[in-house]
Amino acid sequence: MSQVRKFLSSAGTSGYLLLLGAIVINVVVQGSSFFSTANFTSILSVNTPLIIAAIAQTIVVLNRGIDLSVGSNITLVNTIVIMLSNKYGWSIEAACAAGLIAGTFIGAINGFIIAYFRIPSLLATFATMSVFGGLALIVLPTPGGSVPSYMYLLYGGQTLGIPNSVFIVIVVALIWLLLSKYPIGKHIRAVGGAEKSAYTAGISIAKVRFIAFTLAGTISGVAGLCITALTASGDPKIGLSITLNCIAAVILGGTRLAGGWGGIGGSVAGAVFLGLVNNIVFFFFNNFLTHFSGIASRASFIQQLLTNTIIILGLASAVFTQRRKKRAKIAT
Amino acid sequence: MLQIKGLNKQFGNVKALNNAYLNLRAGEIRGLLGSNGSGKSTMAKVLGGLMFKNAGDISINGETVEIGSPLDSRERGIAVAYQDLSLVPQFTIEDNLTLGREPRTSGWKRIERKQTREEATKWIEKLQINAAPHTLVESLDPSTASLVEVAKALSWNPKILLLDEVTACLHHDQVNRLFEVLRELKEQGLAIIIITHRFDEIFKICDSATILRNGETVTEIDIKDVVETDLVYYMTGKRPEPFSRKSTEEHAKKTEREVVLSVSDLYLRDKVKGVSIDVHQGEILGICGLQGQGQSDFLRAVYGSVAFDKGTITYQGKSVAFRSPKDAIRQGIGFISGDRHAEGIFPDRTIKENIFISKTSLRNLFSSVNTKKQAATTEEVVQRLNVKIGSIDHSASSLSGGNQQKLLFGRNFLFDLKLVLLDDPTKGVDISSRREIHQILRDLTKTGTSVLISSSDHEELLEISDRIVVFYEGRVNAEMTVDEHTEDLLISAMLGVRVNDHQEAGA
Amino acid sequence: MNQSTVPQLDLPPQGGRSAFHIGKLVRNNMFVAASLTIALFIAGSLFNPNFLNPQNIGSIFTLAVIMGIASFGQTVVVISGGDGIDLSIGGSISLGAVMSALVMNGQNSGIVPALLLVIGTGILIGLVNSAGIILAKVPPLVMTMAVANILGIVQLIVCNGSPTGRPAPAIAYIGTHRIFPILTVLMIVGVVFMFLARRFLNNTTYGHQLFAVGNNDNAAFLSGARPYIVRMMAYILSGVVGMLTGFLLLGYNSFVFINMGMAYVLPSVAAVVIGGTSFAGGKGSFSGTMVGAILLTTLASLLIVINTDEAGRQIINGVALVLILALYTREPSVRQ
Repeated sequence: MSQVRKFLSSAGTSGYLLLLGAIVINVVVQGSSFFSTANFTSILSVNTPLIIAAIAQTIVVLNRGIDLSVGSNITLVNTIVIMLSNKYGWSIEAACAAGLIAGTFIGAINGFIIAYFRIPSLLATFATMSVFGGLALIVLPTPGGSVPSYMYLLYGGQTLGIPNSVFIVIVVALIWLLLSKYPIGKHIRAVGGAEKSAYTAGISIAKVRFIAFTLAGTISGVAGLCITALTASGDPKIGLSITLNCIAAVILGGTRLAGGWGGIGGSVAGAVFLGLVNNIVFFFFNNFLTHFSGIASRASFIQQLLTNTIIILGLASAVFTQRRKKRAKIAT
Repeated sequence: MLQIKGLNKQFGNVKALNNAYLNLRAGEIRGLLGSNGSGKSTMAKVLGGLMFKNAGDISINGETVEIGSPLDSRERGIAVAYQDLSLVPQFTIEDNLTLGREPRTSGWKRIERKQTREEATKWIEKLQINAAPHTLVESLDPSTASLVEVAKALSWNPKILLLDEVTACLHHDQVNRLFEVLRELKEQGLAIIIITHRFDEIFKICDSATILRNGETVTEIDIKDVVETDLVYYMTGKRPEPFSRKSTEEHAKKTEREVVLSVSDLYLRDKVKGVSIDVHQGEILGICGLQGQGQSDFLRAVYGSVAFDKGTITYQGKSVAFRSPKDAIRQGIGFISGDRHAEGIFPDRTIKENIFISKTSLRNLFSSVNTKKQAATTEEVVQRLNVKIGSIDHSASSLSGGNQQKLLFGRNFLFDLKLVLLDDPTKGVDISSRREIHQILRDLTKTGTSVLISSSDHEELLEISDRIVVFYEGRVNAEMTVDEHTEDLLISAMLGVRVNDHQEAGA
Repeated sequence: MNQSTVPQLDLPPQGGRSAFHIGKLVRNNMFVAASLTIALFIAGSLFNPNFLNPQNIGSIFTLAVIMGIASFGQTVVVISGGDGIDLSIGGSISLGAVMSALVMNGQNSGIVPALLLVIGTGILIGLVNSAGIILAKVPPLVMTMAVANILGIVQLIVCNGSPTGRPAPAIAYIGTHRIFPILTVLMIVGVVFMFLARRFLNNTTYGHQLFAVGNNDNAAFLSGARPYIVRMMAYILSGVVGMLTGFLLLGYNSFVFINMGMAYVLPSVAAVVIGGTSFAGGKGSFSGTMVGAILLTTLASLLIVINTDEAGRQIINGVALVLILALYTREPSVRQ
């Protein structure tokens, strides 16, 4: 296979290419202020929850599943942390630990239902999304609360010129990359790519699926902690857009929804791409379109429209680079 | 070493296995034979742990065992290479071979990549697999993928090996190499069960055979005590009628008739490289060749389901280039694929719907359908083709493979066919259905329809064709009429030897 | 000819395989769903004896009709296979309601223009969905989600942030009039719609091709069907019926608010699943979906009667859905 073909067909390529394109266009519309540390920090720290959620979703998608409850997981963790620290006076560290455990537990519930009752993950997580969302409302009926200032300062700061939240992403990514070198990482993909073949090889489908969803739950919990640090408060309705966006990020990154193929690299790139698109549209408007009168009144609508259209185009091109010629129809 | 007694397996009302038995010794190669639906694959799946049995005893070396999962099966020393393959297409060959028993490093217990690579390389060399260990399985052609499946089973170092129709996609030399390896392993004490439809393989490699029919074991015999007709009798209950090959004159006369289809210099990507063929009216033209030499692609280019790059197709005197099967059907061309699972049957739809789909598709998109009339016509067709069904409102998945294949004929029969294209239609079909299909084809030609049939079974083509062309690497390698000396020429041509001065136009 | 030395054996005749019925499965699902619905009604009456009032039953069934019609497009799209799903119907319904309100503006003369506009826009929505799904091969889940987002914004642009308008009197009549306590005009509309839907799916060439394409698109193509066109029509139908549902919803509510259709999206998927339509495509029925819609609406009404707050309702809805899913959308075990 030629080198170009090989590059194009490896996992994550579409995400990297899209991200590159977005960076280039962003520089064009925003100018040199794009390269400031402040800008990087703001973009990356705002989007870290999405990036981490995309990593969680990738694991589930590699397993040929989908997790619609990621957003509710993040929301519930966020509300639990705020409630425990504000209402019950827990230290923020203890509250975060509890939040992480809650996230893991949520993932485990999903995993249990999906793995042992064999309910399709789309439907199961749609149902649990409601349940966890409702629980979040009970935990924290109205938005509010606060976190100690050192938490959000730490989250929003930089070390050695790199935004601190990036380190969180790196740690999470390393955990998954390490797992990939172990049988469990391989088996998660195997069950996703060809369930019957994995079963024939002696792998326990239920166990692997359970682990995949539980792991995704833990990682979503981390995203919930990040969003708590980011917004420095709690909001029981914060989650839905993250769910849809993290699924889009996974697809933009080239991971196949059918399972067995892909990786977190592409999803991370896809998530950053989404973050940049918002940025691009904003600057495009402010720097280029303001002299069209009549647009101003509907500016925010048109911006959103533009953003969504770009995302659709990004999805189309991501899927396009995935097309390979399959020769044999093999596993069941 | 292995003894199966009283094995029962039921799916709803269907008894796939009914009191079946099998005996196997170490160092023995036993064929497991039977028509489609006789229960062979079911028995394989029970032994492999993919299906649970309803009743029966399985004992290994005298000890009764329960096989509750594929893991159990492997731990008991059984390895199965499945017909529909148990590989993960998105993984490499080496990852597939070590799936479920990955070698681990000593310290951190990560997956040991060097050992993974070495093991894959070993089996690739042994079975002469034409691919590197890091190749993705989804990019392999069917024959290579089948060999990887066998390699996987062998890499488990089993005591009992079961091969379920693995030779279906293999080339002649691949089969020979496989048999060499099997003989080696047999000397070392491996017990082997081989499921196959090909009689030449049975007599070449098997020591003994167990024959199933309708889920029951008919008998167990030693191969040296029987001949082919005996096996057919056990499998079907009927003695096969001797057939006579038509005389050369009869075949030759047909070439004097008018040409229905004339293909000139057809090119399709790297699959078809300048093929020219003429089909005369009422003639059966067989396309022979190993799998993947371009026959399938050629047929589909003619049918219009894929677009060809260069060349001309003249049908009934007019130059055509069908843009979709719909156009071809409109002009009286039918297509029947042997891969009924992927390309033919709608398993959850009724038999009636399966038969009428083409007719319905040709009408306007939103016209109403007369279900009563459809029902009546379906009954007629089912009768005419002797399809064994419960009722026309049952789903097509309730039929056996051979009967499903006949449904596909029924679909085409609703039209006034001038030409029918067949892509390996009897692959995996039991012998009596196969004979019936051959007769259907012969009857078709009596009413003037022409038949262009590709088959991986050269004996089948020798039986029914008037003329045969051989495809090799995308070109027509030989063209011959059928007589007593054709077989040897045919096999040589299939392997690439140029047997006569046949020159493709413009080659 | 070689003489065989093998003795003749007395072998049993080769019989035909016995088959299983397609109808049984679907009916099975519907039977279970119907029983559950009855159970819910009984449970509701325990909390509040008025639950079994003819008036209340009529209201529930009316809501179910709207839910069912809203789910018609989803049913067709899911049957068409290829991982088909339409998450944009919430957007279609909302946009349909907003547009209808603006155009009709309380006048009967506005009915026809509103219908034309709504149907035309529905076709456009279907074309956009199809373009992404069929041409660009974007997974339906994602494409329709993106289109849903866009429709939400278009809705805002169309009414400039705050929707105005009222349904025409005739439409409000259809949407709200009760013939008997237990029978509303909308229920009759629902029955007629079900009848037409059934004929459409079972007795037209499109329906035949739809099921074939959903069951095995390759085989359908080789048999002369046109999978692309069939699937495109499915999304167009979904868009059109979604917009028409918005139109109808306006009549039912008599006023319009933003994102009126959001609450219908995921329940439409649930209704389709409960009704026995398979996400693999090629199998299913609209009657099943309708029964699913009735079940879901009854559950929702029950929860209101029990007087739970929004949080509680969400949780119970979710848990109930998990239980229903566990009952009969379980995938078969890998080991048979």
